[in-house]
Amino acid sequence: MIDFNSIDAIIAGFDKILSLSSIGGPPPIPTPLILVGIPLRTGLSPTKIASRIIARKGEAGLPVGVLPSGTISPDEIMERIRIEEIINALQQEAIITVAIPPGITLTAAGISPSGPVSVFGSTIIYSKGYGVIQ
Amino acid sequence: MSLVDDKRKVFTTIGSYTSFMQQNKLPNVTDIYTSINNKKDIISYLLDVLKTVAGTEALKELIGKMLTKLVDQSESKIKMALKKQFVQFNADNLLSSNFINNGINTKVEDIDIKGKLRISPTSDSGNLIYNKTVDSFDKIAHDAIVNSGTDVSFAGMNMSIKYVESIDTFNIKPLANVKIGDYFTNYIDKTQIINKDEFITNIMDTIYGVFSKKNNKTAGQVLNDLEVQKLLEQVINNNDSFLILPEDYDELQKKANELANGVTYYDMGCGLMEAILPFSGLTKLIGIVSGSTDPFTIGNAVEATIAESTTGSPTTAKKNKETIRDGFFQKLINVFTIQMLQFSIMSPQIRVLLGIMSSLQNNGLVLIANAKEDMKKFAIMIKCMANEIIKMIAEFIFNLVVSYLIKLLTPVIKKMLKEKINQYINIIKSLTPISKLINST
Repeated sequence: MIDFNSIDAIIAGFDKILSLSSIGGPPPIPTPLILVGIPLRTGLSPTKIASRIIARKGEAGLPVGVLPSGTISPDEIMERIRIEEIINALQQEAIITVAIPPGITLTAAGISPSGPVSVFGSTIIYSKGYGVIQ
Repeated sequence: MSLVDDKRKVFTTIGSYTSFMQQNKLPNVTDIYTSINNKKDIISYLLDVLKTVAGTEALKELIGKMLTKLVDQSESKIKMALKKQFVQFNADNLLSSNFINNGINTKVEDIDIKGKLRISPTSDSGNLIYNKTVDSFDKIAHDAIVNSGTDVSFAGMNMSIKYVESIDTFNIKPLANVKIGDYFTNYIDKTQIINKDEFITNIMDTIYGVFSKKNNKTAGQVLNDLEVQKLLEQVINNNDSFLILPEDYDELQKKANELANGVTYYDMGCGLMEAILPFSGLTKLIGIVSGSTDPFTIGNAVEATIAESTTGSPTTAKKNKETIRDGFFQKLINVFTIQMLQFSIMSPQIRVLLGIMSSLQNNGLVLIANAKEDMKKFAIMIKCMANEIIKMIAEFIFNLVVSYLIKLLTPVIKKMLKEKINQYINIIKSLTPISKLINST
């Protein structure tokens, strides 16, 4: 219910509609597929990304290729530099933290003074891991 | 990396940081929408949002809808709000014997700010401002003036009115004794707060002065009305000082002179253009509005007054059509808001009701006099009614904006959903060995 005497409430009403929150997020990727698929990926290539962007300049109505003078377009050089810097930063400076919730099912085997033991259960605390972008 | 590159890197890095810091001093952004800088004005903000979503053409549709659906819906809401103001602690008491026997006395000019009650309902002007299909306070009050010295009864509102010509005063008494709360409730229920024809006439008169000129109002009479409207506009904009600044007063005086002469000026951004709406243009508009419930027909009829008022300079009007039209609609909606508040609290019937209430609360002392001065006495009530009116109009415009937003956002949402589905499919494909084989062939 919006208080129509309050400009803040009216703005909040528009914000709610414009946030398009009803769209929701994507479904999760199946974990086994990630485990199988990730090793197949080639990793990020600034050259490939910059090339694809330059190739699509035509979609924005911009000319692609060398300038009429025969020199390389500074805009295209800048595109490569921009992507290189972004990818470098992602690969060398980004911090990836993975939060693992409790409740992960586990099966473990070990040895006790009375002999080998097997454990079935689930984790009871959250944990975290790190990663890099390649 | 060579020593030369290392040295160069120091300079370029410093240069980049310097550039970055200088970018913080960006020039001020110019807002094309004035409502952004006006913190309190809700209606202007909503109109700007509407124009952004649906273009200025939507203002015409809004006008049409406001003059049909909103006006029709507003009657019951305003009555409910009025009852909250008038039915008070003494609601269960009977009307006082003083009121029963002597009534209240009020000067005509103190309740009739616009000078309506002296206009005959059968005249050309009266045709526009009196509702002849029902008995109304205004019609009875006019009858009382015509039949000076005679009690004119209005059983529906439990009152009799006598006009005393020598002192230009009404004497108003109840016909039967009832509880105060019942008296006020019945009075409000039997009152028509907004007569649509009169409402539109007053809006167009505030813009064009067409009714004022027809009825030979003086600049002073028009100024008095404009001052009341200015004070109400200030209340709507959260200024309850009930004072008009000298610079605003000068502007009102200028405007009063123009309206008394039936002239207005359209703002074209780079200059002003004179416009005169003939009385026949007003009667034609009222004729269309009275017989129609179609917002688009009414919106077009209102827009047509622009062309009708600029027949003296058609070339200039044609060249600046869009600018004139946008300013006109914006102004019209602003006047609509003020008029709705004025009808709710400053019409003769409500002024009388204020007089009766003040008399019952103050042992027969009637506290209404000059309308402008009275506004301070009834400040809380005026602010409460202003809030109700703003709430009603803001909700109406908001709902129209939302209907346009839904039309705008539906394809956007579909596109975003498609995008998300495609992204998901592409991620799945990129993780599947088969897709690698397909892509590589």
